[in-house]
Amino acid sequence: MRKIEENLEISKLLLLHLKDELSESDKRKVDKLLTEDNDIYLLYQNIRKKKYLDEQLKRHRSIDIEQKWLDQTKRISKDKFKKRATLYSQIAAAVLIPLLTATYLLLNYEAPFTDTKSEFIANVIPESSKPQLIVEEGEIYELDGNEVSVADSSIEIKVQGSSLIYADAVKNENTQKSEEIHTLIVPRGGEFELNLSDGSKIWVNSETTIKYPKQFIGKNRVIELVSGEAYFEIAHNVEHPFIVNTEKGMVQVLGTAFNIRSYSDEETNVTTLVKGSVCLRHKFDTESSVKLNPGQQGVIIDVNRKINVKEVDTYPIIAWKDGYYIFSSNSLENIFNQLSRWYDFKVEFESDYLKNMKFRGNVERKAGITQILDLLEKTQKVSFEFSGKTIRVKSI
Amino acid sequence: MNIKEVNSGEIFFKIDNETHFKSIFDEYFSSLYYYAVKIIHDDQIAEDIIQEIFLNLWKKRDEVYINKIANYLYTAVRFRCMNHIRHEKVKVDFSEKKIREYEPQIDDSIIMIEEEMVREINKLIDSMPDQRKKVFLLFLDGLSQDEIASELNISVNTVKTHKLKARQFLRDHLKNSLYLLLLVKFDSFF
Repeated sequence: MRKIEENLEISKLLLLHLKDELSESDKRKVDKLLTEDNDIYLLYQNIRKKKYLDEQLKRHRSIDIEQKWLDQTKRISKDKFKKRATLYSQIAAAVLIPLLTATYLLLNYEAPFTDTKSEFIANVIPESSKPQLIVEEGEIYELDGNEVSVADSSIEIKVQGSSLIYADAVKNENTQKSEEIHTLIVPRGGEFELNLSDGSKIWVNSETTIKYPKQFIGKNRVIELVSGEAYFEIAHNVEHPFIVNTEKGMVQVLGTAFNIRSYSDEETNVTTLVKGSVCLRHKFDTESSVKLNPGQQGVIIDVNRKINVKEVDTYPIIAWKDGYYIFSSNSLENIFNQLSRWYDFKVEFESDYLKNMKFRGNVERKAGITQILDLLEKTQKVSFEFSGKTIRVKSI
Repeated sequence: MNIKEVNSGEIFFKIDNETHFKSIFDEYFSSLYYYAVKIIHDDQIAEDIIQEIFLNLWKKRDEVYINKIANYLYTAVRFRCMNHIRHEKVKVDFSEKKIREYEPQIDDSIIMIEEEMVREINKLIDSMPDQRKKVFLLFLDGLSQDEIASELNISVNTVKTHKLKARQFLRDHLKNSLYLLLLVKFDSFF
């Protein structure tokens, strides 16, 4: 594509050609242009014609320049009274234009918000509750990093660090296989990796409950994501399709990597496909099936609305499994919502405008809530007040 | 005028007062506006973009030396228009399940060339004496000789004279255009 300077030069030359005021060398330049470029040739031929030129002249003159100038002077005056632009953080968080205009909401409160940030943080770090494994007989095992042995002849269950690993036990004619259901509950603030005996790996995010058979026997490998978020890397097995049931939907999988987010306190079931292929449908509507391709995301809201499919950048969505929380354009409400999966707190917003203020950033979960609050404060768009386990978000 | 000359012989100027600023505004507004409209197909947003760019130019007037004003202005407009399109395209692509492209493939160069040519020709017309210009423009609007005469409160003969002189003026200046051929043809009927 031509540079702007070139275009301006060409327009000057063409005009001079029209005026017949070109030097010989410039005339050759123009003739070359007219021969080689169809668009330029057509433009030149058109502009030579009275009718066409008259139309263009009229078009330009149809603008009431004095009115536009008035608008410009108004704009200049308005600008003089605006506050100075706020500073933007150099680091991670940046502010994007909020979509909604403000409706100012003043919240009533009783306790004075005078706690310090550190006190707040100390209050909201979740009690070190460990993930729990519940086996069908009702026994609950706390997965605190030590080796756990579950009494079972057909399967070996190991805990290694933050992984729960299932492996088929040494085969024995006497071992009865069964699809006994196990439940893994990952609490707030936690994260766990589940390795199933078929080779499938599931990363389970905070506040998530997932149910699965201890071993797969039947034709279908079926698991249930009761509530929460998980990232799946499913071992390919054409004869035994892998199916994930959620509150609203059903995902059928063929050797693939995908993320499902289906918290029961959220309105949507969001399935994001990284690799392979999945079919997604409403739980109660067999006709609604859609197929996702890698890089696509399917969103189920309710059975009356079609499943919405869109292209997304998948990394921000699955970054949680690598310990990062990436927000590409998330509202403060959204960001605090995510934080509430890791920490035990309540949030109050001074206004709807603040709730909807958008930010972009990249934080390490390890660095904790401190980092996020610090970064948000650095943008100089928000400030915080604390009281017990409640944080109040205010504008500057 | 606040001018600075550089070694290469090029002249850089600063906008030093509102009159100067207005003259640039008056000269370039229409072409920039239509350039933007033809790219983004939204007249409200196009107008907003142009007004914002002029506002910024005014705000920066103490810091900025400009060499080629047209270059500066078109660059600013193009940049914002492309950003707008990128934004809009992302929205559309999501809903139409298309693959995202990051660079809008729009050939705006011919649009720019045309707008600049029209701007210059309009300048030419502006350089005509007042009455002559008025007559010419009213003809452009489709008024008849009589209508123009009454509108401007002059005789029909005066209108005719002005019309003739306007054409002569254009003929003298746009020798290679076909503008005059038709006019010449009509002339033979009078």
